[in-house]
Formats: sequence, structure tokens, C-alpha cells
Amino acid sequence: MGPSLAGGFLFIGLFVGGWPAAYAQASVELSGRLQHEAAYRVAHHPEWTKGLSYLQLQGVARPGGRSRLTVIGRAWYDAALDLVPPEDLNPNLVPGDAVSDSFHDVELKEAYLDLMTASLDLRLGRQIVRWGLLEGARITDRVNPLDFREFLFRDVEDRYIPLWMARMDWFPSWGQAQLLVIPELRFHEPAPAGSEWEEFSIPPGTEIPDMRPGNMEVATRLGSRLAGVDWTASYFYTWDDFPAAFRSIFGVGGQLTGVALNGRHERLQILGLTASHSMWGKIISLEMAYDRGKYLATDVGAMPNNEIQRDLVHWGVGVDMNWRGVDVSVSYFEGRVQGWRTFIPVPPVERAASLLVREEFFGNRLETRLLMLLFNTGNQYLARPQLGWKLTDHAKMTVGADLLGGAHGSAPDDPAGARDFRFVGFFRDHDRIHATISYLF
Amino acid sequence: MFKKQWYGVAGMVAGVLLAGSVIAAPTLTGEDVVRKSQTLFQGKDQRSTVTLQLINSDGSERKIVTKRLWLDTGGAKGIGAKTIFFTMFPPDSKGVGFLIWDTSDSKKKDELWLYLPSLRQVRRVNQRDQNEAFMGSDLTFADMGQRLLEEDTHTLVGEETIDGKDYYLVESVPVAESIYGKKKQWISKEDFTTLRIEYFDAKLDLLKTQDITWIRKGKLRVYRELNVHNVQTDHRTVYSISDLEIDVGLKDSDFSERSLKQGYRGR
Repeated sequence: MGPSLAGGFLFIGLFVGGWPAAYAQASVELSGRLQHEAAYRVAHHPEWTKGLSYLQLQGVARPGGRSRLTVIGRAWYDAALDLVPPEDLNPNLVPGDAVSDSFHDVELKEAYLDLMTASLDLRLGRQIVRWGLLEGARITDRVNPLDFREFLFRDVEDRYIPLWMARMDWFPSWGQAQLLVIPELRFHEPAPAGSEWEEFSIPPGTEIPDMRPGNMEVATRLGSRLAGVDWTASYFYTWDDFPAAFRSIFGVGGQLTGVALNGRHERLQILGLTASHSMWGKIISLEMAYDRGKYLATDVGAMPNNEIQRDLVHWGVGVDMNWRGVDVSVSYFEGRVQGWRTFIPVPPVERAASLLVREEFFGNRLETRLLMLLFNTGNQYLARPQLGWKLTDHAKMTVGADLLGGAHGSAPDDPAGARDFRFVGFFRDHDRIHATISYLF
Repeated sequence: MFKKQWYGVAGMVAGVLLAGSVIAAPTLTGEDVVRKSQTLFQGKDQRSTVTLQLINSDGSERKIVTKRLWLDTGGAKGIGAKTIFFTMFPPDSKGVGFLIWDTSDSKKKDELWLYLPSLRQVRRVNQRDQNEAFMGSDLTFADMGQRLLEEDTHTLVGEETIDGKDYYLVESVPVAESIYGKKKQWISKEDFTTLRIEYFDAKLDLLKTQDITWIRKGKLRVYRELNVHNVQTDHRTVYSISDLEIDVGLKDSDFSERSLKQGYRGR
């Protein structure tokens, strides 16, 4: 049930073939976006790396005051993927590497039915659910897996993979309670093989859990307001979006004959807590998560199967403020491995900080924005300066740069990759400039 | 500060009782006049469309349309009023929602939430700089609200007759922080509606003018259009209220994060 051709046909059917009979008399609202995006790599092997054009349509039908059907779909074509040779798109490509030949598609993005009663909302269908407070931190915001086709640079609607699920929100007098039941099992999707942003891959033959009731993901979140503070507490019984790669070593008569990687997604429990408070004209946000039972790779031979289960603690704190008319957000994040041992390649503690500065000029027509991410491991950084100009009420143009740096590290599939992998620095020679023009209707 | 921004719109649609009991006494001071103009009856709740036309000196225009719901909560739990805005136009802002809980406690600040459809998330947001332009218009967030009476000294400097109607002319000079050197206001002697405001910069040069037109709505007189002209930049903004309904029975639950996410659901 991915963003498949079947989904595309469903999408087209809804728009072209007419709405289901029950919605024939409903008020239907159509909107959409025609967008062109181009990117040019400026560091090492300069090349046009993106020439994406897409048409996105959204239909909303309201058969009554208490129900609403929303369908969002997209048809896209990327001229760079089509016309630029793969070895130019990705200078790290080695002859013989697998290369994806996908450069166009029709996708169903989201499709859901909302049913609303006095104190209960139900949303059924393919959707994105966002939790958490600290933008981009993914501490508790882990309901939907991510699509890494363009690293971290896509907007939410493209970076998050929508899932078929049932979502129920109950609004009692004390706050809000949410229940998610997710039968569709999808996991992080790496960038396509051979693409510019290819970094990690899923081991061939990785076991995907069957779709059956016992394998569903279930999540619940409670929210309330106490002493002027917005609190949420959450529990997510999920599958790890990254597969654990269990190594099996074969030997005959004491002689090593081979090593097999058996990738497998494992169950994971995530307990979350968030708090948000307005103080001195600033918004203070705190977010924590406790991952119970995460499988981590170990050095070869350290453990049977070379995986070990550990609990992880993630937390972050952020401040949003307005300084002389400029929106400023500062955040600090930390991740810790409980019971870390020297044979676990990932560091016991990883720290990161972010800065977002945003200001508008010329009657809000020009928006300037700078996002900075800094990581303590390998002095990695990511900087995204951006200018957005509203050409008309319907058209907007954005130009910017994506600058990445720090230690390059080793590729995840290198022998040293487990200990020396650098998520951002790996792309330090991928600095690029980009432009987007969009027409909304 | 968004508080001021949306206050102001609340103030713009403020109704005025036309009963004879509000006929002005001849001994009013400048402060009395301003106080009466600021404490006009607004009904228990309101629903309306607020449209902003932003006009550049070269004549080019931009439009912003929002649906606005407002509820007088009477100070319950320290909240004086709640306002929610749903942006309907332009398309790139459609679905963006603001929720403002306006505190009735002068020691506390208002609370604001923002829903961005692109992020699929409601976020608590910080209050804005009072002197920042409201949505790119010619009024600041501070202009959109009502300064506390004691933040200025108000002097009745004269009376004028315009189009056959009598007006008090009040000059207000700030004693608390302000970007203006002074303000002049023409306030009706009959019903205390404000006809015109002139804003002067720190050098006491005229910065912008604001002209307000009113219509009758039942027993009330309500704001219909507000025309602001920055004479130094020649930029104009027209704020207009339409589809105004008063006392439509809005509930406290209509002003929540849930309402923000659900979007404008019509009548």
C-alpha cells in the first residue's frame, strides 16, 4: 500500500472519474500546486542534480458539517534524474553499483475521512501524524517513517511517509487523549540506489513483518494543561524503522567460510513526554523519549549475532523568541545509550544544537530564513540560508543553499562504517544551490 | 504581539450603543473621551470575515482574507476573550490558523497558538514585537490594540464639526514606550466612535492617517472599513469587515487546538 501506481489511479479516479456517490451532492473544494525545483551542486563535480516538476492536487469534500474527505495526490517528473548520467549525479558511484531508474511517478500522498462528534474525532486513512515540539528533532515525533530521497531537505509532506491508520482523538474536560492503530508497516526509505543522496541501504533480504493484527503498531498520547504548561505523555508500541542487521558467521571444521547479514525489524517501545510553557514572552519547550529495547550493532565477535539490546534516552530543550521583530529558535538535543559498552560503535552520548532565524521584509513579501544544525560528533554542520519572495498572491519563488560540512567518516557499509559513520558530514562535498518556483491555486 | 493585532480587529468591530444615555456631557476630559471610545459594547461573540488590501505606492495590490471568531469569556480562568482566525486567502496561507487567549490579568501575557497545515502541527508561538507591521500592513501590532489609558496623557484640544457631525479632538502623548511622538483622534460626541487617527513619528512629523467608517448593526454601530495611509512611504492598507454576525452562540470549545486543526467549518 505504498505510494504506488495503484494509489495514483485511485487519486486520478477521485479527481477525474468523479466522487463516490455518497459525496455526489457534497460541497467539494479543489486546490493545488504546480511546482518546479532545481538544484545545482557547487562543490566537487558541479552538476545539475535536480529538475523536479510536479502537479499536486487536493480535494476536500464536506458531505455534512461533521464529516470531511480529503485526498491529496501528485504527478512528478525529474528531468535531472532522467537526463543526467548517474555517475554525474552521484560522483561517489562505483561501476557496478545499483542505480534506480525512477524519474517520474503518480502518487497518492494522503487520503483520509474525518468524522467529528461533540467530543470525539476519528480520522481513517492514509495520513501523517506529527507529535513533538522541537522541529526536526524526532524525539517523540516518530509515528511516520521518513523518506531520505533528498536527505533532510524535503518539506514535511514529502519527508514523512504517510501511513494507513485509524486515529481517534477524544476531548474530555481535562485535555485530550489520542489513540493510533497502524496496520500498515512501512519503515524509513533510503535514498534511491545510485542517487545523489544515497547514504545507507537496507540489507538485501531484510525481513519485513507480516501485516496481521498482532504486528500492528499502536500508540497513545495524553495531553493536558496544568499550571499554564501544556503537557503530553505518550506511548508508542512500534517497529524500529531501522532494521537490526544480525550477522551470522558460517564455518566448516574451524574455517570461516562466510558472513551473512540477516536484516530484521524489531519491536521497539517509545515512552515520550513533552512540556511547553510561555514565559517572559518566550516559548520554552522540553521533549524527552525513552526507547526501550533498541538493537544496536556491536563490533564483530563481541556478541552472538553482533547485536545488543539497549535502552536509549533522547531529550531536547528549545526556546522560541522574537528579538526586534526577528523570530529566533534555539534548541539543544542529546541522545544517550544506557549501559553503553566499548564494543558498541555508536558513541555513548551524541549532542546537537540548532538555530533558526527568520524575518520578513517588504510587507511580508520577502522572507529570509537561516537554519543551522551543529553536531558534536565529527564537528558536522548543516547550514540552510534561504530567501522566499511572494511574486503574486498565487506565485512564490525561493532560492537558497544547502551547505554541509565536518568529518566525512566512512560509508555505512564500509568495515569502519559502524564506528566512523557521519550522517551529515558524509555529504560534505554535496553543497548545492537551489531554486523553487510554485504556483498555488 | 499578536494580542494587539487581533484585539485591534476586535476593537474595529466594536459595537456602540445608540441609546440616548451615551450622550456626552460637556465637561468630559480628554481621558474620559478616550475611555468611552475604548469601552464600547461588542456583544458576547462575533463571527466575521476580515479582509486586508495592501496597496503599494505603484498601485500594486495584495489581499489577505481571514475568517474570524471571537468570544468574550468574561475573565473566566483569567482569560478575557478568545479569538481564532482562519486564513482563507492567499492560497499559500490557506488553512493557517491563529488562536489567541487574551488574558484579563495585566501581569500575564496573552497565549497564542499557530496551526500550519504544511507542518501538520499546532505550535505554541511567542508574542510578537509590538512595533512590527501586522501582516505586512500599515498598522503595527500595537496600533491594532488598545493601549492602556495610563500609557498616554490625553488632552482635549478642541472640537470640530465634520460633515455636520460634532467631534472631540484629543491629543495623546505617550508616557510609556511607543514608536510615536503623539496621536490625534477625532471621536464622535454622539456615540464615541472614532472617525480618524493621525500618527506622528518621534520627530512629530505626520507618519500615517487612519480613517474609519461605521455601519449600524441592530442596536450597535460597528466598524465596516478602516483605511490607513502611510504618508511617508505612500503605502496604503484597507481593512474591511464583512459577514459580521454578533451573538451567534459560539462556545468556549470553539476556541481550542482542536478547532485550529479542524479549520473553518462554516456556519
